[in-house]
Amino acid sequence: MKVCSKFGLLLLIFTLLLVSSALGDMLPNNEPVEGLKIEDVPHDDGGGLMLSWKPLPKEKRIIEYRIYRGYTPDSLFYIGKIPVDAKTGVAADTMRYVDQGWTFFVDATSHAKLKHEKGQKKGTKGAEVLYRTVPRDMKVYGPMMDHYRMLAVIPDKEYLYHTKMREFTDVDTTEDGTIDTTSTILAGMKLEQVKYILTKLTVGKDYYYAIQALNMNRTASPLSEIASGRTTDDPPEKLKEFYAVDVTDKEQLQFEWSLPVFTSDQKQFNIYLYDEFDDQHLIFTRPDAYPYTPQTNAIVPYDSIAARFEAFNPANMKWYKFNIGEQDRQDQETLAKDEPIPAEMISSTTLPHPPVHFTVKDQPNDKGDQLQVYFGYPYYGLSKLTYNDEFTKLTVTYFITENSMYEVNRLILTINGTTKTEYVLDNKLDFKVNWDHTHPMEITGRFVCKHKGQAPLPEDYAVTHTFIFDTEMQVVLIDNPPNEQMKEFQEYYFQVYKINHTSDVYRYAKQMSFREREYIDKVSYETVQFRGRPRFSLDEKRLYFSTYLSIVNYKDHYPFYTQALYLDQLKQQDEEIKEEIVKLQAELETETDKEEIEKIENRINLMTEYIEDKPMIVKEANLLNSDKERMKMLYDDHCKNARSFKYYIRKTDGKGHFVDTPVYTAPNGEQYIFPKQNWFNTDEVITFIAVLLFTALVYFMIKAARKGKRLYIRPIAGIQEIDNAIGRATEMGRPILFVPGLSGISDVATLAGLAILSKVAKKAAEYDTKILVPCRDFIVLPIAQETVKEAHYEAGRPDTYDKNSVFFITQAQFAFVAGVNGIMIREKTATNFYMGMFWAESLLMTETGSMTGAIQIAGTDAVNQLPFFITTCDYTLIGEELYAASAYLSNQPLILGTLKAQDYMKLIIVITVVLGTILSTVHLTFFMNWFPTK
Amino acid sequence: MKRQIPLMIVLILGLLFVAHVFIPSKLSSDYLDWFMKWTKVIGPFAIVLGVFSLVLVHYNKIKRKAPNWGYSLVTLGALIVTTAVGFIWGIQEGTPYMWIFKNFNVPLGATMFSLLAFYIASAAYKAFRARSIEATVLLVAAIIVMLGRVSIGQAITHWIPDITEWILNVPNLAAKRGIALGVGLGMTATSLKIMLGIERSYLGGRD
Repeated sequence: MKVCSKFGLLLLIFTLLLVSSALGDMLPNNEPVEGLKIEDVPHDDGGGLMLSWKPLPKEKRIIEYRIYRGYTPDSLFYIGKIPVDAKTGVAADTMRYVDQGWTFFVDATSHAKLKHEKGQKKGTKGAEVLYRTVPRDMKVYGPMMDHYRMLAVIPDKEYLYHTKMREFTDVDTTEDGTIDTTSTILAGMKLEQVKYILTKLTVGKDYYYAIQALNMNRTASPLSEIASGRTTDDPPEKLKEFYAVDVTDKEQLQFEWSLPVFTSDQKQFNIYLYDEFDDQHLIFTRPDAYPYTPQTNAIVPYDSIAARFEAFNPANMKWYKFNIGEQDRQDQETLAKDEPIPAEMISSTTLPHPPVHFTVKDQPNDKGDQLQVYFGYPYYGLSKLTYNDEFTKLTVTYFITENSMYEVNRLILTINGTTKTEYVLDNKLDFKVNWDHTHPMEITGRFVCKHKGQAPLPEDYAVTHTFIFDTEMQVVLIDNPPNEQMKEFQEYYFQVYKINHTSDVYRYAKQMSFREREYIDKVSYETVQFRGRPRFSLDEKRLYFSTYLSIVNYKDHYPFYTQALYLDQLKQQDEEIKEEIVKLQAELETETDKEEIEKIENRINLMTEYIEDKPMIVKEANLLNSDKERMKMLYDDHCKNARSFKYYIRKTDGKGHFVDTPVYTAPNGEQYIFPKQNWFNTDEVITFIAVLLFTALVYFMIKAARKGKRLYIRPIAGIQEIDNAIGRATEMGRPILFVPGLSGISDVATLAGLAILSKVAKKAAEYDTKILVPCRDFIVLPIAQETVKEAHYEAGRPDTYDKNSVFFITQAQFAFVAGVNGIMIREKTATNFYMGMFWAESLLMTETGSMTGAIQIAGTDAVNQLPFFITTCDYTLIGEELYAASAYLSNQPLILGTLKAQDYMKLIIVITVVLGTILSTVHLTFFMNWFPTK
Repeated sequence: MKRQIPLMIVLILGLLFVAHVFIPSKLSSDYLDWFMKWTKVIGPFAIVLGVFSLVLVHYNKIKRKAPNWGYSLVTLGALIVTTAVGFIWGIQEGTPYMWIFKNFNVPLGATMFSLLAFYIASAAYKAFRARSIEATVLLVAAIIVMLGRVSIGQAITHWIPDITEWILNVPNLAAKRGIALGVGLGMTATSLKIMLGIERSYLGGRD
């Protein structure tokens, strides 16, 4: 009783300590954040504001600053936080938070109702205006949508097949007093159907912010002053770099420039020519590729310049100057250079050579979301060169970059006349050379390749590196300084560009260094649709989005065809257009102005084409009566076009000296390459054969065992001793401890452990010996309980089963060990079994068991833990023996059959390993290369 | 039926997972993602079983006034207090829950872990007692590897680090790979036995 009251007292003190800590009495937080300022983010699209404030002193032990925003000062919602290390505080004088870009607004997991923020005492300043995140209550978030830019991310399946059509009629009174009625059909969805909605600040609007600091006790500081700021759409930033190069013999100008930081508002890049009178002429326009990265270089032929600037004369090139302007969607423009620059005049011979054998093809063995882009001959580089004290032995650590076209079989390296062939490419090769380390030395590599569908490597193709010993630093410097070949390699890099059917500009896919030869381009499956500015209906609790799907039209003047989601909507649209055509035709009869007539005729033609000359796929789809089937057909076409790309590669130095490959054309003449999904992974052929072989072996061995064939299984001491160990516990009258590993049920070792538990528990039940099974995983727990229970039933002793003998301790690794060790010491277990997966805790448990004098049998497949078990346990089942144990104990022919099959499979593997070793030793690597390396 | 349905589920799901290794298609990949999501959803429900078991075992000990029942009181007290503060004040940084975690759980776990250093020394002593030829080989190899891992080994002779590398990369790695090979086959065989219903002890043992 004394012990009990002591524990009770301790528990009370502990609870009081916690409560006092929680109430925050230990660390007051009564100073508000001061100096909150809101400024517009420069050069952005008018969707960003920058907050700055003075951080609280370190002594306040602040752990986070929470930021609240609203479009009125009387309701501010939590939008984010900046975590701070309470011990070090904030070293800077000012803290900043940038509210910019698309941020999370609301989704189905948001709070159900509007909730005031915790920590603000009622009646204090700011307490009534501060709310937690925006709730999923439409009454709250619906009206807020008018004050922000919105972007809903909607799963494709929901958008295409599970929306509710609704017609909205808007009535507007125009300036002259006439009433204008517009009817719009939108797709209705519940918030649960939308993945999430993102938000961005609107241009030219005031937003209000406040900051609150939380200290280590999670006590909130009083709210800062509420400050406001207005978003402004500024002109774009200045581009940092711009180069102009005139390639005279090719009669073209080449331009290259750096990427801007903000691209969301980017409309286009404009290149200007300034003539001898400093008059500005627009000679090139490159539209932006937002949301993708745009091209940052351009080739402008003389002809194209002359078409825009009639007086253009290449002979006057030395007088011409150039500049680039970045133009945003509000048509604000900023020029890169204060003073236009002249073009560097070169001939095409000084340009780099384009990469050879540029190819694009579908990536094999994938789910249809990757394309291979590759080019050029293989390359080898040196990662490290080590040497002995006498400089007579060099160890070369190399790497090879290759591609699917030229797969390297052998690397032939030559140093100072000594040549060695690397048959097994293990990235390391030793050389015996006499190196006068005061002089640089060269290492040349040649390749023996499989050339798939291409010409063999040119005979003179070799890569040479130079290395020198730096006596001051006592290290080998590789390619420092580089030789002529490496200089040329290092000067240029590759840019991969691609375009799909649904874009009108190329986008930047990847920059590759001179070492790389292959790029796997991820072409993800389209899973969501982005729709902006939804309407909402409080009665129906639905959000309404515009209804369309973009279909490729394959016509230059009309590349995309916007298709409505609903058939009814489509019919209505066609009717409206026909009515419009009739109206326009009536206007045409009365119109006399030629220009107006031309405009009206153009509109009539476009409208007629829209109705009558629909893309083939749209015509086919519209014949279907079901909206679902129709959308499926259109969506498949949409995805195929969105995921088919054509590519080209640009080799450049980043300063206007570049050269392009032609756009890749497949042997069938197709330029757009579509990634196809594969139904069998050919990399796994060997594994597949091995699985089939093993399954066949198991089948035949089981069959043989069933027929009564005696299968010899080698004796395993650890398993044979299990019976003795249980007997020992029975004789001593002490319990048995069985730990089924620390891993979960998905680990096969745990299942093997449970199989052994079944046999041990049965034996223990027969001998009427108590068995204790502590579990770390709560899914393993009920299975272990059921296993022990059934073992007792099988032994005919259901009465001796105690459910509490199989119990959960904790998931924490070392707390579990403490629990198990405590049981060993308190219960004085006579026999300990450890069967399953173990980590660092293995030695802690077995050493304790060893000290208590228990007989211990362990079994695990954790190779790193085996030495600990072997040293501290009496018997250890090593690796596969753990899996064999239950078969041994059961002695059933079915189970013994699998064991025997395992042995035969091992024999096959050993033969394969020996054969591979012999063949590789005599430089026949084909056999080794059949097997996957991972 | 009670046995056949679970066995059928195991067989079908097992075959589907095997098929996933050889079929890289989108369907196969989506199936795996979907299944993994369900696993994540089901997992937390099992925690109730664990907590229930813990409470039951310790409650019975307290009720029966079993030897050392005071420890059970502390366990249950700690469980109740930690759960309560977690529910009341949350589990973020600065809450009492985090205070308990940092000031009880972390140091106690670290204490247990630090014991490992002493236990390794004790286990090493047992292993390296040169009572047989095998143990002597082990002792010599261990001394070389230990010396090769510290700068003094290099100072004695550059052969020690070289031999260390050789021991680790050749005999040690060969043994490890041999064990891994057996483990791989054992796992495959066990999986096959479970899939085909040969091994049923995880279902409770009775046919």
